[in-house]
Amino acid sequence: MDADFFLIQKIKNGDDDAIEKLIRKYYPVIFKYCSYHAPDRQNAEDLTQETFERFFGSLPRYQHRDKTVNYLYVIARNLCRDAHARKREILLEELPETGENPLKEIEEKLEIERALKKLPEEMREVIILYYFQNLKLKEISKILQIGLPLVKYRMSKAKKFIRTYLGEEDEK
Amino acid sequence: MELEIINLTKEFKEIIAVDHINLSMKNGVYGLLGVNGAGKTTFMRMLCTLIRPSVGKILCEGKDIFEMDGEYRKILGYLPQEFGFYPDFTVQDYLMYVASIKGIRQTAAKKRTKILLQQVGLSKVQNRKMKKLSGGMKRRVGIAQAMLNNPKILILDEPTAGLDPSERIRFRNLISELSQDRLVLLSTHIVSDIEYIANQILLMQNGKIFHSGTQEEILNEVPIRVWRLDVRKSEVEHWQAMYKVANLKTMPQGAELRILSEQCPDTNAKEEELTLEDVFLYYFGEKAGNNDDVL
Amino acid sequence: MTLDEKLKVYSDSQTIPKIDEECVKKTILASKAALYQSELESPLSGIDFLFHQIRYIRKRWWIAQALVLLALWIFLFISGSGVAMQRSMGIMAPVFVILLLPELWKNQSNASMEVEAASYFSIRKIYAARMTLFAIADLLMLSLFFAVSIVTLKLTVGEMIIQFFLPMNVTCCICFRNLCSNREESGYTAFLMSLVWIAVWMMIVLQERIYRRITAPIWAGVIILSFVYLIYSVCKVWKNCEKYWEVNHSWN
Repeated sequence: MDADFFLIQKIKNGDDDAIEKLIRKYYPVIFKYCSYHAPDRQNAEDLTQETFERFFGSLPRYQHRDKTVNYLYVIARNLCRDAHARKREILLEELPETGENPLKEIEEKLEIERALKKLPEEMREVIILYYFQNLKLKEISKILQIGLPLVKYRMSKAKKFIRTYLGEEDEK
Repeated sequence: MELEIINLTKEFKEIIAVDHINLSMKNGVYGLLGVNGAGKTTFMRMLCTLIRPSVGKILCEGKDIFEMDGEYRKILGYLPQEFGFYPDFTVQDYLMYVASIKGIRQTAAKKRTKILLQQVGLSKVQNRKMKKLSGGMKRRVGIAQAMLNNPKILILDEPTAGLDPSERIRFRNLISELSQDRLVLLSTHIVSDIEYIANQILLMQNGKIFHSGTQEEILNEVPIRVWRLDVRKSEVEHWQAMYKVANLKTMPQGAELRILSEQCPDTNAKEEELTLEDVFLYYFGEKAGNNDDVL
Repeated sequence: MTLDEKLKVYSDSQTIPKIDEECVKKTILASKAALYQSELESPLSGIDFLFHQIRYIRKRWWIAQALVLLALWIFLFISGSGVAMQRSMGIMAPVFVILLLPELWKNQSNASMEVEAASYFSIRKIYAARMTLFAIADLLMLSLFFAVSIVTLKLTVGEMIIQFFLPMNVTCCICFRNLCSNREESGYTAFLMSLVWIAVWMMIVLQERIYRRITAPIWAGVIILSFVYLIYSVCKVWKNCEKYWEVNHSWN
């Protein structure tokens, strides 16, 4: 039972402020997640909005069994998959100033992005959820509705793929 | 929304309250006109599944409403002639209670209550005790309660009984507003209630709906005309004995009679336009209630 | 750097994209609308409905019932067993039940039945909910009372059953039997009949020659019979409550 349990109860009892609280709590992570799957900012915002709409639309039937955020991820994932977006360009944000050899860092970053683009979808998903959304393997397994061993398998395959890809790049 | 009423009959011990009614109803306002004892309330109670018919069926979109049970009542709103409430209920409490038995969840119930109280003009009294409300205000709460579940079928039994003229007009406008995209059945013995808002008028007597149609159709099919005639006061009784007098207006020089008759009763008589009140008198043999209703 | 570290670095370099406050506000509005719409479309579940009904039962009657039991316990504690015990239990048990009457008859006495009958849950479920809640509350109170009494007052289970449970049961039968009647004054009838029952019971119990004649098997038989009849009455209420208007209550 987490803090969200009481929040959900408040929402069910008609507390409008609790709705806003919940959305403000999880908007950032869901928006970030959708950004990885959407072709542009507008799409990402739309997907995020629709995620929350669907969540609240199904709330009367929602039994608070697991973390609310995981449930949001499931909805977001389904929406992103169904979305027309084919181009999987990851949004480039401003790079932090490091001082030391910024060029090398930019290059590494681009390499990883290219590697990620080449990854099959199901493997990329695991990487995004683990490394970028900072979720635990168990949570990923619940969100993707696959067994933990399969998550680990996909993860190792993905990393192997990236390693190989980066290795190839190095060789080039 | 379509309601199909097939051969509907209700017998209580020795009385046949509703006698083989066949009717097809769609969206719009239906005015059910009839005097007390015509069977209107029994008919409406059957439509609300309160009473089971002795014979016949009521179908909603092809399904028997008694089989549909809760699913039918989900889309039904009913305002009975008399409705009570638990003591100590405020207006807000009452509406939230009815919302709960209508199966509406809290958030939606709070919102609906707020919207409806605004619509019926009672937002300011939401915390007042129900028993402290005037008759007109109670009726408005009654309408709000019927509308809580945004029903597709709205049944109102004598909703304006006991209201003063201004309340009645307000009520009529409210019904008109609410009748968009809904099937509204409204029973009354006060013609002016439905005169301008009903799409179809149903005339009921002795458990039967003996005539139905739009206002124009009903007016056209009545085989009488209306005449205005000025007479001397001493002649009034004579005329009243001979003809159906719809209205008697005492004037300084005599009296002005409104006579219903197929033929012109007198060379001095001038024809007037037939109204629904005249039709009521013609069919029911007594005057309809009107704005000055005292009984 | 290992791949893990590389990915972590990459991830850290990704700042969360700037969030547009207008979009958040739009999301909040849209979510509220979606919730509202979906609440309108999905009705309360049975359990939720049951819990909601607790709000509408006037707790004063439960408090009154608890006080009756308390008063009875105090009296028994002071006076011990014997005739006083029999008399007090035989009166208080029916009184305990009579305190249900206002809430059970609430729909009828306040003329709210028409609106209730035309609603989604309808009269049947409202009665069922109310009776269930009362049954639960009363069972809890009675269990506590019985347990405490048997321990502190040194009354036997047999005595409690005959002196309390039986008259209480019969009063319940009277109440529920009247609840299924369509007559307008059934609440008052239930009340009066209960008073008559108290008088009858007192006569049976306080007259030694009658009381002595009644052996254990007879008590057992009567108790079982009253129990069966109670269940029958409750079922009849369940079946009949929707037939309230089968008797022509109004002229229209």
